[in-house]
Amino acid sequence: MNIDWFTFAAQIINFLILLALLKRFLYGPILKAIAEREAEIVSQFDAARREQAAAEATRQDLQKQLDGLATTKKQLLAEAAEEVERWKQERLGEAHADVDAARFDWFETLDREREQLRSKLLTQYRQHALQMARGVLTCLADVDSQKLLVDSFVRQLEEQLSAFPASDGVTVWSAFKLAADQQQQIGDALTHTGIDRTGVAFRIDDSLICGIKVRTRDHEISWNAADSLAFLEGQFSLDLNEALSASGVRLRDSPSNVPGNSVETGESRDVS
Amino acid sequence: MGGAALNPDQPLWQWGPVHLNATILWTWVVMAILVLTSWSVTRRPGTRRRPSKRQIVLEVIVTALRHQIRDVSRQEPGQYLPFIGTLFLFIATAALLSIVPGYVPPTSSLSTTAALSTCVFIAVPLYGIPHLGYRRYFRQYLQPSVFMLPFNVIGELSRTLALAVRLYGNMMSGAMIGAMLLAMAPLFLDVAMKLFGLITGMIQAWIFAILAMVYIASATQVHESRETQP
Repeated sequence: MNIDWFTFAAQIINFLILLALLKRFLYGPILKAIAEREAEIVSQFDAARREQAAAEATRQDLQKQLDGLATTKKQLLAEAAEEVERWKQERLGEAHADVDAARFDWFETLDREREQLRSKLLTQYRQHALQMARGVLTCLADVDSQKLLVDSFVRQLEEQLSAFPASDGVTVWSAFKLAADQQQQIGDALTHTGIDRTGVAFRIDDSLICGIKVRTRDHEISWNAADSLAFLEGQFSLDLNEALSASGVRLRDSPSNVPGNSVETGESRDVS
Repeated sequence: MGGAALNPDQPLWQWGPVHLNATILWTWVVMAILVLTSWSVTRRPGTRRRPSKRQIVLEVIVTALRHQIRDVSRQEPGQYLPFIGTLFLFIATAALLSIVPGYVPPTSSLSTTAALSTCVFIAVPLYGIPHLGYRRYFRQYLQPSVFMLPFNVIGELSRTLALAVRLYGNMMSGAMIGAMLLAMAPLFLDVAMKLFGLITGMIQAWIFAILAMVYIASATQVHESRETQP
């Protein structure tokens, strides 16, 4: 229980030496290591926060770019759709135009073919009619009928003498050979107009059907069955068009259907 | 060493007033263990990210000491850590080595515990005066009145004495009882007492360090708060 004062003093010195050594070799290095690690961790946290902020900024930038791309995509799609719609309308317009042109050509071809068919039928019909009429008129043609024909023509000629000025070089065309008295009768009628009888020539025209035609340089007066046949031809054209329309074939207006371009009939035969 | 176990201050070698005894000898051993261990670990510290296992152990010990100091003093532990930490490590190591056969703890000598208590007694004004100044520090011995000066001085001395005797009594009794049981009882009983002595020694080390911190903290905080009262 006694204190050895030398040991007491030595232990104080030993403790102070130990304190200094531990401060040098233990507390200092350990605290320094802890502080450095904490500083490194703090710096790593700061770096992580900076990287996170940078990443967030990058993300926002990329998001903006994505938004911009989405907007651009919408605009491009809208423009493409508009372009496609415009192109489609143009192609449709061209297709319609092509179809109209083709239909027009088809109608033209159809009209042409119809006209050719009509002309062909008319020709055949007229030929048949003419053959028939010629046959009938030929069978009925005799002196009396020719005389009646000449008489009728002379009366018509006398009615229209006022519109028939005097002229030289008159030619009388007939479907049959006129007898001398008949030539005399027509010549007398023409004399009343001041035409020199010696200048009247008589000719035969096979195209005239039971008819007589007087022609000067500028005027013509005729009476023949061709006018009736022309009326018959016009009527046949009308009947043919009606028959085609009723069968469902819609045809463009042919020149013969245009108002004011009617088929000439016997009543409208021209006296010019 | 049987005599040294009972009185470790008996000289083993003497040259005039200078002598060498078991207390000083084992103190040097404890100092060597602490310093060499610290030096071997910290001379080549591990990388910052992956410190060595031994460095981690030392960091755990130092960090625990810092936390204890901070909890007791309510102050930053930086300035107190070397003193309080050295007290704890020296006393704890001196107690842990008691498992070595023939070892005599230096803390079982009253000279050692008195020296440590004297260090605490000196450290209290050394930490308190820089905080409060000479006048404010020494004026607290006159509180609440000048007539309390003798009692305050006696209080300071008595707590220092109590600090020394408490540590000496616990450590000496452990060594004494161990020596007596070794002579009287079977060997396993002495081993059990040694293990019990380890626990007692660690607790005493913690108590000594905490009381030292309390005394120092009271010299810096209690007096300061008393001065701030209107």
